[in-house]
Amino acid sequence: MLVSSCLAAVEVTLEVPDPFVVGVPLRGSITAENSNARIERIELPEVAGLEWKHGRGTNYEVRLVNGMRSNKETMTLVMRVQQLPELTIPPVTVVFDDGSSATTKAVTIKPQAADTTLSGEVSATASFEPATIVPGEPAVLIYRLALRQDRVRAIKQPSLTPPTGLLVTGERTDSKSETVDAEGREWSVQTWRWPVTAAQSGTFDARGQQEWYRCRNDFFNQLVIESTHQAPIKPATLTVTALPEAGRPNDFAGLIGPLDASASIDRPRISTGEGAVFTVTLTGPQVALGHRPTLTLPATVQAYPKDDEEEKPGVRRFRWDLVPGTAGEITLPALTFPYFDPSARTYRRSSTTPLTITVLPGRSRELVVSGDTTPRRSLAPAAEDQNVLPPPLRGAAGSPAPVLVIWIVLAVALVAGALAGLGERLATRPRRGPHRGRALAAAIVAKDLDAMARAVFALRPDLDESGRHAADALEHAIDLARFGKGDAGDLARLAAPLVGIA
Amino acid sequence: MILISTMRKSLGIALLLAGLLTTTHAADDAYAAWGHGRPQDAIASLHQQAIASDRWDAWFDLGLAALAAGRQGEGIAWLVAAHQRAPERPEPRQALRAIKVTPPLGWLDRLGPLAAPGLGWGGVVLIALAGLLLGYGVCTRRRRPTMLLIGAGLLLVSVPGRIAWEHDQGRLLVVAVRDSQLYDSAGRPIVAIPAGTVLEQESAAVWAERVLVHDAQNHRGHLPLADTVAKP
Repeated sequence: MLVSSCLAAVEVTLEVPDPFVVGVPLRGSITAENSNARIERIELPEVAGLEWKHGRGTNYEVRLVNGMRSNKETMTLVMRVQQLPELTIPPVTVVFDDGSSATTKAVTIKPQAADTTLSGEVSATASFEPATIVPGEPAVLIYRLALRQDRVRAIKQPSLTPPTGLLVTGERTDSKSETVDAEGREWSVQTWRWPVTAAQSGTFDARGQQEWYRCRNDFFNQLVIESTHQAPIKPATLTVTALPEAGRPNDFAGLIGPLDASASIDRPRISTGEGAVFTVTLTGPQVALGHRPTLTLPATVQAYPKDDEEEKPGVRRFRWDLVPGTAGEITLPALTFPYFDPSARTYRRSSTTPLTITVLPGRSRELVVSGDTTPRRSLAPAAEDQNVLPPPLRGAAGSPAPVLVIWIVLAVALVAGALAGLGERLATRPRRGPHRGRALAAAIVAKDLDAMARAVFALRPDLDESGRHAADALEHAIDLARFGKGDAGDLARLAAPLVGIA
Repeated sequence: MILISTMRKSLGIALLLAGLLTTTHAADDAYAAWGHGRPQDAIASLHQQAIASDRWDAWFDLGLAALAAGRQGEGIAWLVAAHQRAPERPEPRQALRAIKVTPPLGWLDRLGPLAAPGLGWGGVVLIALAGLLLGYGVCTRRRRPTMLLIGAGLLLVSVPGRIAWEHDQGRLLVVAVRDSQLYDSAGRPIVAIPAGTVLEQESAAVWAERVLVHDAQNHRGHLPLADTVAKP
């Protein structure tokens, strides 16, 4: 029997022997999961009729699954109970070494006498709970295997499976415990449970042979099979009786009780044109067999069915979008679902409660402004406006400048500015005149004395000492030729040092 | 050849128009469902639209729809996504304030009005003008100190806001979309993180499916990445 209590993220569990055999010391345990600290002590309360104390040893496990860390610390308890019809163990406080504590829930146990059915080395028993059902009613196949603990015995897997014809409706679960037989010998008990049901009436037998092994531990503490044996499984029979014809409603859809039906609406006050979601929830073991009910609504209300879903096993929801066309009060009538109640062997109905939707007149009205339209108060947003969610933008917001664009714009602008500056520099560059040396040479070739004199004059500012001497000699020769009417001599020779000057 | 080329162009334009019309139609459907009081039915379509466009206003509308549908964690996550894409816009901040959520202060918050000249398209114009003036002033034959001064001044007033905007946009903000915990490097829980808490991610690196974050109270630890992923 497992009872757990959650305090924050810490889960503390008290596990007591099952069955709890009278007068025999048995092992129990307390397990703390997901605690930040280690267990410092366990405060075991005094319980009349129960002797218990801390056992030897503690086990601490840390698991890492997909990066998620969890831990589990288990401390052993030794427990012995006296003959009592019933015993309640109050919450047990577990104190951790960081000062925090957590408690288990109270546990009620029923002490049992030693199991007199256990004999030999192995006992395998099958049973159904309940042993009689109707089609669709859930049942559990229980397979209990007990191995005597005076030596090592083991199995590889349970040999029993649900009989052919039964529908397995969920995952198999298993649990382990200990017990003692009539002679006080210890047995380990492993129990497997299958949730099953049947679609048709009839009987279903669970039977077979369980293979088991006598083993020993080798040097590395590994199990080594010494011999293989077979043990008969005590069979069990599930009887599935047909559903009674008497009193069966016409709209019965196979639902098996207990069944609970409820209805809800997400918004009881809406405006015309708006919608509300109407939800019908069925809770029960066979709700997958339920059909979507037919809604009877006023003609002004449109109902649009939505996908129904079984959110988790045993809970099914049917949803509709209701859109009323006119204002007023709309009553959603109660819905009833027939089901078979196995405990009473009769048919019953589960009903929802009627609901009312208030439909307000629509919001789309023409706005008429009259009188003084000047606002009488400041248009600055009021302080409380900060607590109001703004309306959706529907894509009306402008696009922000992309991240890189601004730096590209800056670079382009710098280059463009620089180009403009360089252009301006080129445009205002001072223009240089024609080549003065070549002009002098051309004037000499053309024997134009005036042009020669102008060219020499133009060259003078850039002449050095030797150039000035050459220019003086050339000028003297030109003056002689112009004004003295004498022979100018070889002007080309005199001009030779000057014709290369630009 | 010319005919094939023309047909290809026409086909491309037709597909583009069809895509635009489909997107617009889907978005209209989403807003219609929202307008009819079913914001939860609008979320998937708005999410698709936000992923496709990556516009801040699309994330903003998605966040509002999630809040209207009662999905606080996802709503805050998507509003923070809008805030990160446009840190200068007041709308996401106002919506977060309305639900009592304050994102971590950024450089824009600290600069206040000083950041304004560098933001938006106005900032682009100012910076372009500054670049033109500086480039021209430096390269012209005679140096123009007035131009250089004005250019430098424009750059000075516009660049801080722009740099702050880029810093805030590049911040790694995450939101716990469901109740979670911070863990230390050994995997021990440090502090509980309620759904809707905005945290600043310190590194883009993911370790063991967790990211290193700190919260407003300077609790520092690793948050499971799965708790930060908002799904429609």
